[in-house]
Amino acid sequence: MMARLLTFELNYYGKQRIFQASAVLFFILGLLMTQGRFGGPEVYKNGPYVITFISGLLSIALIFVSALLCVNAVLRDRTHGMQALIFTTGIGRPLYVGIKLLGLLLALSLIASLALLGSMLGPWVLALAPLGRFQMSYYGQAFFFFSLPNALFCGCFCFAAAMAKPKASTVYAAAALLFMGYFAASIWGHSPLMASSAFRPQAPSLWAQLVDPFGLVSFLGETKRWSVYQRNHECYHLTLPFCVNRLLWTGISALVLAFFYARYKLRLPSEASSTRRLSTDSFGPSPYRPVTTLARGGRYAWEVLVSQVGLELRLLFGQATYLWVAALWVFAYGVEIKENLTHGPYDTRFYVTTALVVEQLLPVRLALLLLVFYASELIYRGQHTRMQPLLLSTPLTRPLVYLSKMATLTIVIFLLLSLHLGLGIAAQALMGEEKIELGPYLALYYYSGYPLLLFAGLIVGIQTLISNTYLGMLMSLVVMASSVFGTTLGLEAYWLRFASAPEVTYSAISGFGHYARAHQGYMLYWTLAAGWLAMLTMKLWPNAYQQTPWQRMKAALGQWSTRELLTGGGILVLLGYTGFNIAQKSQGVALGANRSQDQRWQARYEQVYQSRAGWPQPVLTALTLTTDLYPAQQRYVVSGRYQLRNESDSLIRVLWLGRDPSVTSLRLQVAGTLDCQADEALGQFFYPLKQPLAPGQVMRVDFTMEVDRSGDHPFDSENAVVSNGSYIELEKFIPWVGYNERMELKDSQLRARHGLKPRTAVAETDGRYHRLTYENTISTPAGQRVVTVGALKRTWQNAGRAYFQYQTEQPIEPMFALSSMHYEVRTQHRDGITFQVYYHPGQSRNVPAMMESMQKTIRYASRQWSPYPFKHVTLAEIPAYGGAATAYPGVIFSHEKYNFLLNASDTSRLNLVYATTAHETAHQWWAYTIRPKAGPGEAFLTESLAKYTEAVIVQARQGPLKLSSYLKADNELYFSQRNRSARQELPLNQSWQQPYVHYQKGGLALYALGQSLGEAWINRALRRLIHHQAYPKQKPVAQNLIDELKGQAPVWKQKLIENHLEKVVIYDNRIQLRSLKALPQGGYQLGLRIGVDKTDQTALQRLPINDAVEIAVWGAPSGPAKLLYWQTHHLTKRQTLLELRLDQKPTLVQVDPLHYLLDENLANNTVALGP
Amino acid sequence: MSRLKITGLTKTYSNGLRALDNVSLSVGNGMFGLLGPNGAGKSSLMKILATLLLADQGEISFDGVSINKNPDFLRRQLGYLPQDFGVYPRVSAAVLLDHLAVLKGVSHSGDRKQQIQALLQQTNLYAHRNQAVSTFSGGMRQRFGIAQALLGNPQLLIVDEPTAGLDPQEKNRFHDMLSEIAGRIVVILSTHIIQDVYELCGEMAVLMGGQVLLGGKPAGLIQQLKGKVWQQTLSQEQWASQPAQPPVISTRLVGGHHLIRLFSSGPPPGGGQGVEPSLEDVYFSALAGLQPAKHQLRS
Ligand SMILES: Nc1ncnc2c1ncn2[C@@H]1O[C@H](COP(=O)(O)OP(=O)(O)OP(=O)(O)O)[C@@H](O)[C@H]1O
Ligand SMILES: [Mg+2]
Repeated sequence: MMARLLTFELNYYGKQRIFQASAVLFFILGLLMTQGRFGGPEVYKNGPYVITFISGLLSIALIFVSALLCVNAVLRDRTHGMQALIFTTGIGRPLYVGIKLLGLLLALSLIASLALLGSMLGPWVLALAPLGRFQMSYYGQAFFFFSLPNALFCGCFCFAAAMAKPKASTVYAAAALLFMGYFAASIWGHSPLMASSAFRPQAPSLWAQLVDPFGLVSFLGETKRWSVYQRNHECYHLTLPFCVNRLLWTGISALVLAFFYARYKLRLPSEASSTRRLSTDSFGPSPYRPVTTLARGGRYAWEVLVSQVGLELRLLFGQATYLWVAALWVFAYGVEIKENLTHGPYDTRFYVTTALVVEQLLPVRLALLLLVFYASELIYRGQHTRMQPLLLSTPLTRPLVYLSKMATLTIVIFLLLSLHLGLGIAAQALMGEEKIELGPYLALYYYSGYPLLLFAGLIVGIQTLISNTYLGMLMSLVVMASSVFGTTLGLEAYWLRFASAPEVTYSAISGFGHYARAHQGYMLYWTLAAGWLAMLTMKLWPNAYQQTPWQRMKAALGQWSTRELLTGGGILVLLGYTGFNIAQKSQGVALGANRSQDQRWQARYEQVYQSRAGWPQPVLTALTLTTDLYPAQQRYVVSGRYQLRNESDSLIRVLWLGRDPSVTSLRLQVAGTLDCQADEALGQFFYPLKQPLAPGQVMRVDFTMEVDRSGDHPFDSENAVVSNGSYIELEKFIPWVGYNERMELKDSQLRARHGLKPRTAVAETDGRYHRLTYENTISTPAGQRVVTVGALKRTWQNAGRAYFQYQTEQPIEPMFALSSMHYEVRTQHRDGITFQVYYHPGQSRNVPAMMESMQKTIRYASRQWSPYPFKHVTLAEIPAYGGAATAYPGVIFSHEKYNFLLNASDTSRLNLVYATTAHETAHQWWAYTIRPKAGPGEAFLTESLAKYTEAVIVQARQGPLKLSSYLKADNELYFSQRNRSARQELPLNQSWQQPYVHYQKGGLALYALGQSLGEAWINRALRRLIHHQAYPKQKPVAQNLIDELKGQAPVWKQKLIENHLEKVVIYDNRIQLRSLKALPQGGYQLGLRIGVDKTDQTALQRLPINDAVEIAVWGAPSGPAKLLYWQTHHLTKRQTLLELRLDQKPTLVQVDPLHYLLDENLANNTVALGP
Repeated sequence: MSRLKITGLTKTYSNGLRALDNVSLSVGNGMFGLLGPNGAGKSSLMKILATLLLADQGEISFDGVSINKNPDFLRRQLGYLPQDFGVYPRVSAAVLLDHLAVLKGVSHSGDRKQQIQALLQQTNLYAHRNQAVSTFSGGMRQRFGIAQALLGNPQLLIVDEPTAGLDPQEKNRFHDMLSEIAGRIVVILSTHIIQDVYELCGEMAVLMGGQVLLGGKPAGLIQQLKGKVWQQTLSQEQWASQPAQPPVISTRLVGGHHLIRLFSSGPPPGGGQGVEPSLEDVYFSALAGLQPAKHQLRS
């Protein structure tokens, strides 16, 4: 009997469209997902990491299939009114429930296996690379640790929900609950799938690992630091949290199942809750009389809408499910706001300003899921409740039904967004923010809500066309996913992805920023599309006569009145026009936007011109510009004059100028040349000179260019013109001379796809400094101020515009960015230098720290290395354009979020604002006083030294102990990024395109050397470097500094320098307690074992130990820990035994307490001894 | 005067089943009874009339307006009680009636309130007006169905087995109400209770296999059978040994004896007693094919 029933059950699944469709869909998804770039370009498509990743991701998607199958198959007796017949057959509860559960779980497992099968075939079918050896065990592990348990878990959970309340909405709400739980855990656990997780190398907290029902947070958190080799060859080891997670959730689903099973009865559901008492009042008999009706016209339509929407809302809010969903929503986004604002990189937190909260609230993709579920309930309601005959025999027209459903969805979206905004405002209030601005919140109704409304139109359209409820929902999910994740699927163009538009951001300075205006164009386009879809949907809306989709399509195509034809045609024409307009305006190539057209252009430039890179060309020595900014129109105009000088030894016969692809129009005027040969497509211009330019001779070029930076073009944070907060790295966009490496494609996979050779580091052969004088007269709308490189000579106003004339007082490196916005300025004079901070009014909380940091850094550097070259230093705020800050000669452009909105009020932590400012100020020496030769190791002389300076300056203010958490974070970041990169790590003196080497490792290595050699020793070497190689002498390479450092140092110190800077060496330090005795005469005797291991990663060999290593002992009988012992030991063995006499009882011992030695496992560097 | 005209209506379902086969009727104000065995096509005919189903062939007009071309014309003056229907969960009778009244175009809220009150009283649901309809008993739900069919100003009232499930008291109450309004509007009623048709309907038709077997005024149809119905009473043994020769209208087993009604223009050979024909005889003789096929209805 069991077998028969089960066969019936499985046959039933086999016949359901939703099951067939999901099976096919998951197979295809599994297949296609192997194309994704999981874990980096070098990770095998059939390796254990990719397989596990895909099966984990797909098992999340399985929630929705699970819910749909559950409603379709498990609740079928109820849906079709068969319960009374089935329950009275004498089938027992265990059998009835058991068979259904088994059926569901088998169906889900089958779908999960198909997905895995797809991912097994994917690399082979799609001919992907790189591939490793095929190993069945990888798939087995992924299946048994992720696919299967998650499938079972999703099934059990939905099933339990169905038993708790056999209604579709309960099951859907349960699915939403699971998903939001996962969503919240991912944010909490800093899952790499979430955008905000970069720069958080720490493993996720235990709680986050446990809360995630899918086990992905553990997997991703654990493997975040894995090397490519590990990703390609190792299966995920079962960590304790992961095992507990699997057990926990299996247990929870079993418990939930058991709980609801115990309460489940084979009874018809009684609907008691909302029924009210008998109404006993009565009045005199009133005879029935027909009344006049008017089922036509505007008033009728309005009344129907009100009544229908009222009824729908009554139905929605009549069930508790909506409360659940609202609570979950608050929870998920609450976690997001809190995590992202209180746990930034380097353990920072932010002020909970309106702008930062609104930025978090902008994406509302979770709402799409809810919309799909709710829309299906709304659309199929008449069908499911069998009320259709009553409704369809009324004069209600199809447009009215459609409109009432859309009106309901509109109100629901409005309410959801109100909740969303309310949450943001509440978060601000709860976290103690006083200034809460309403405007940006209200704008979210448009920026976040309106696309949802458009989506609602699409979902209703899809679900109208597909009369099978479940299939309709599945299709809606698929279409939505392809729209939201389109770019990863190769759907680049916005017009192919419904309701998509360039993603707007929010900043207090620039509002909705670059795309704010273009966004409206896209929304108009999509509104027209949605309008057309609405017309079609109304035509397709099932009425009494056309029931099957086929009939409806036939009917919809058939009967169009002239008016409908005109409207429909009109909308189509407008749609085409808007689309064409958008396409027209957004034409052109954009560097770094990474659309295929941009890549092709870049590849072509390199293929055609790379061979001429060696042509002798003159260099820029003087530059006079006028720049006019038009923020309202998002464009600017530059005209100017170049003075070019032949600094080579050969005659120059042809002048070669290049135009950046973002430049809209360029006019060049070169005196004394023949006709220009132009390559318009690639923007290259060749001017044969009438008279060849002899070495030492100069020539002139005049130009005018116009640049349209409107939101029709991809945003470029280095070339941004917005209403407030424009920032242009001008040196990159004015015409250049000769070959420009910046145009080359950088990504190695893209290069390979376009047939380009891998890029290699080429050492610069010239070695001379080429500096120039720069003068720029910049105009901008009155009210805004402009900051650029040089001294501000003059400002004036004319015809509603403000003019700023800047001029350099001595030759500078060719670097000159500019910014323009409404600024407030704080000025201080110290040591003969003018310090200025330009900031957005109101964002002044960190200005004092920046001032102090600039002054301290300049004072330190001027004393230790060389005098500061300018009379001013300016720090200017720009909107949160990614990154933290950029230094230019005498100017620092500092990004809003990480500098001005960082909450540095907690003095017990390291002040990151102070550190960042010190870093950027240090670049005045390590980039603009010393400019290294381009090539391998150059960033050691800029970024590593800036990192080092940062540490020294911060330490001087906050002490080494606060610095240690910062060094520790860098230590962890180094290992996590290093492991993610597949390329062989280069030593610091050859570092190239490995930021973790020249930033994290560079800073730590120099700091470590400072501890061993002494700060004075380092400063002496730096001083000598400047003395020998600053302008106008030859540019240095990394080795020059290393030589200075080695100088007269003893051999073991020279060896240390070599290990840190010329090799790739990592440590493995440990500390162990051997004995602890209280001495009779008072005090304590502490015995320690110190282990230090050092390996050369290139040669893969252990190195002899000859290191200065710090040991610290802490004691805390009560209250805060007190330092009992801190000493640098010169160790020469792998194991060192240490005996210490202490006055007080120790509680904690540490090796390398400041964490500057590169050590992947920092946990065993500290041992707590207990109270 | 006939208001509803049906000519040559044919409906074949997608599974190939012909539910209606060239049905023609002409109906005026008053009650029109539809009789027919299960599966005869009554509900199908009513669904087509209620504009819920499209006929393959044939023409329907109401007050001279073609319904195929202009279904909304009829919907604006239609009351329909389906044989089977559901309701939204957790919505009370009063709210749901109000909603349906709005959909039917009762825009004056005073009118609406008053009419709903009257209907709730007439269907004896007033005390339950705030209870969710989905929790009603079968009969109560049926009464709700009746109430909603009467909302607005229906000129054509189609009720498909309206009294199924009603207790005798409620059934009488409903019949009284119908009779009261039937003078002004067209009411089409299907039922399996022949007595009801006899008592209520001015006109009737018998449907079988999708075809109209018979139509006319109940009294006139009975009149036509006058002198042609005979009854025999046979014991069990007689019944087994000597089956009746002339066409049998119906047989019934009463107290161990077979009561057999026969159709014959003269006394039947096996003997028997002439009896007064009833509407039941009309119905059964029509089903048995003993009546001249297809009386076109006149009115
Ligand atoms: N949707 C349908 N698809 C296919 N056949 C149908 C459909 N609805 C009804 N039928 C068939 O049409 C024929 C007439 O059905 P109908 O419901 O009109 O009968 P009825 O006279 O109302 O019967 P009853 O007295 O049982 O209510 C039946 O044979 C039935 O099986
Ligand atoms: Mg019927």
